[in-house]
Amino acid sequence: MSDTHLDTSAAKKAFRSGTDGYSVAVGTRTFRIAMVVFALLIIGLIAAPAFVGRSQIRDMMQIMLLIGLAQCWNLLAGYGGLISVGQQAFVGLGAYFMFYCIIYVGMDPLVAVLAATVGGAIISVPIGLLTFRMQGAYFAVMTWVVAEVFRILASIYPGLGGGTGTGLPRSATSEMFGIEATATLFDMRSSTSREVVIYWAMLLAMLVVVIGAYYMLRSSRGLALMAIKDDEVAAESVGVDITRSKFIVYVFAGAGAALFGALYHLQKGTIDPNSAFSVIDWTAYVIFIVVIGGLGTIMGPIVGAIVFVLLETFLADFGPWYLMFLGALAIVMMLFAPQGLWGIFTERTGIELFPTRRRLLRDGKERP
Amino acid sequence: MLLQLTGVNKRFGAVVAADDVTMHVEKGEALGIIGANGAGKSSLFNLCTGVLKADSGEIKFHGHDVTRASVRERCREGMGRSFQIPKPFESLTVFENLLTAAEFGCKDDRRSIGETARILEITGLADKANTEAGKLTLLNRKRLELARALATTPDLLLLDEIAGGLTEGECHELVELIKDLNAQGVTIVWIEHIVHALLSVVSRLIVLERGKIIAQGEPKAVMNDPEVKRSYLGIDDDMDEEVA
Ligand SMILES: Nc1ncnc2c1ncn2[C@@H]1O[C@H](COP(=O)(O)OP(=O)(O)OP(=O)(O)O)[C@@H](O)[C@H]1O
Ligand SMILES: [Mg+2]
Repeated sequence: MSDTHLDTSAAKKAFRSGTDGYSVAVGTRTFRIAMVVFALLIIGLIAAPAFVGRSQIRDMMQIMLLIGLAQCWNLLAGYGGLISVGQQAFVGLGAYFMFYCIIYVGMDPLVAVLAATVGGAIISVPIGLLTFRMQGAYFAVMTWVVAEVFRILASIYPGLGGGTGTGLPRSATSEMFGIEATATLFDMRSSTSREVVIYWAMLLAMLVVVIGAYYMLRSSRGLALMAIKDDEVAAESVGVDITRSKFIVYVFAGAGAALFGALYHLQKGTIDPNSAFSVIDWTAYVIFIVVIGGLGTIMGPIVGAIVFVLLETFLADFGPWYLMFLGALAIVMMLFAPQGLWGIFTERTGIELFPTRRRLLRDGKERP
Repeated sequence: MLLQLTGVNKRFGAVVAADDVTMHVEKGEALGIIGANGAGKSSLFNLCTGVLKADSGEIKFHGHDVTRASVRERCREGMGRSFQIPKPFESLTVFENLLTAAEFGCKDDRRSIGETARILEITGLADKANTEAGKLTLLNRKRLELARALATTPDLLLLDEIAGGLTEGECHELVELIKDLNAQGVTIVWIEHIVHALLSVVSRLIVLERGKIIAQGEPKAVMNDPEVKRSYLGIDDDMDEEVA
């Protein structure tokens, strides 16, 4: 009975007759120009420590941190349809795992950051298995509950200072890989060069996450995610593996959050449960950034993070009013411009810096 | 036998969508399904493809039990279907819709861009290849339903009211296309209210009423069955004229 379906299906036979001259293109001209601009920008960012001050380096680190975290949340919510309010679980776990690896295993801090990233990916699997059992709002609540559990566990674990937290031993960070070479290169004190090395690591991490997210969206997994977002039943009916697609996004976002959590706390040098697992810092602000910039685009979180840091710089003096302003702004955006700042820009100009459209060409030309 | 349903039941509260349905589809045949609105035709497709889980009964595809298989598994085994109310991936282009189906729905990886393009041509969507599916007219959405199902390279194609709203000419083209597909070995099951189109393609007909098969067999004989006539009487005048 099940004789012939294995080798070739009927419809395939029907269409095998050759139709050549077709090809697929993704990039656009603006994309190629943008790539050149981005490459120059990246070179500028690498060289920045040579000509900008310590406080600018710190500002840029904060922007890069937020871009990375926002990109991860954007993938989750904007492409995976997974509204998580518990990404602080991975930020905190990454940070704590890194501290553990430095203090108890004696790893070089940068190696510990890598270990924390891998750890974030691994721990996201069981957490995902748990939270994926819930739908919609229950999923969101579950992610938050899980994060709270880890916060409490961290505060009762005495090995890293319990509720009051702990700091990295000076020796661990002063002997960090690359510090001496950087200090000699720029002729600076080792405390400054430590920050420069972390800055470069942060830059690399941001690039990996942004480029990684973009490549995922350009791959067939990106097609699957878009299809799922548009219509889950139809997606399943053409063979898309829904749970797997969402899981890939979840693991990516978990690893990313752990990576940035580790890097941030390496720079800070201290850790405590309440700030490492802070829902305000690692989820609320991040959601704000994605909403302002534009959900479901690669550029949205980048624009949002820059806007957020600018707002913070100029409005932080207003204290609580500043937070209320952020909240009001987010609500106004959601109501009147759900596509975000970058979405508005794209609508007006047609410019798409990270295109994913796959265009069918015949003999190199596009049909109308 | 390509598909075999045995004693399949499905209820939604008081509504019986499938009432002890036992039927089969031969490899290579073209089978038609008719029935009044709400008779359970679309539900039957949803049961076959796994979108609905049967309350009881057994479904075999290619000779093995798929009653508990996922929608995705059944697709990759060779079931392709169109939705009565089109469900395009609206933010993707027409071509990307097909690409997704080809990428995830085919069991082997011998798909090619040329094949996808060829499907666009035969379904009349070549000019819309790079148009966002959300911007399509209803007619083109229906074409996309068929095209996307074909892109998964199905052995069995389940078509749900794909001719509704088509002009006479368009309907004729569609009939020719479905005949072609069938001639090339694709097994067809077609739910259709436009009976003359249906009868020009299928060699066997099943009639559903309140989830139950009330008649099946050679189309002409089935259409003249008094119970089938009664089932339609007063429900759909157009159809009655067409039968007459
Ligand atoms: N998911 C569902 N939940 C509850 N009731 C449903 C569901 N799907 C279908 N039904 C009901 O089951 C019955 C059969 O519906 P179905 O869509 O299968 O009919 P149909 O024969 O395809 O009708 P039509 O010709 O209008 O397409 C209807 O009464 C419908 O309201
Ligand atoms: Mg129906």
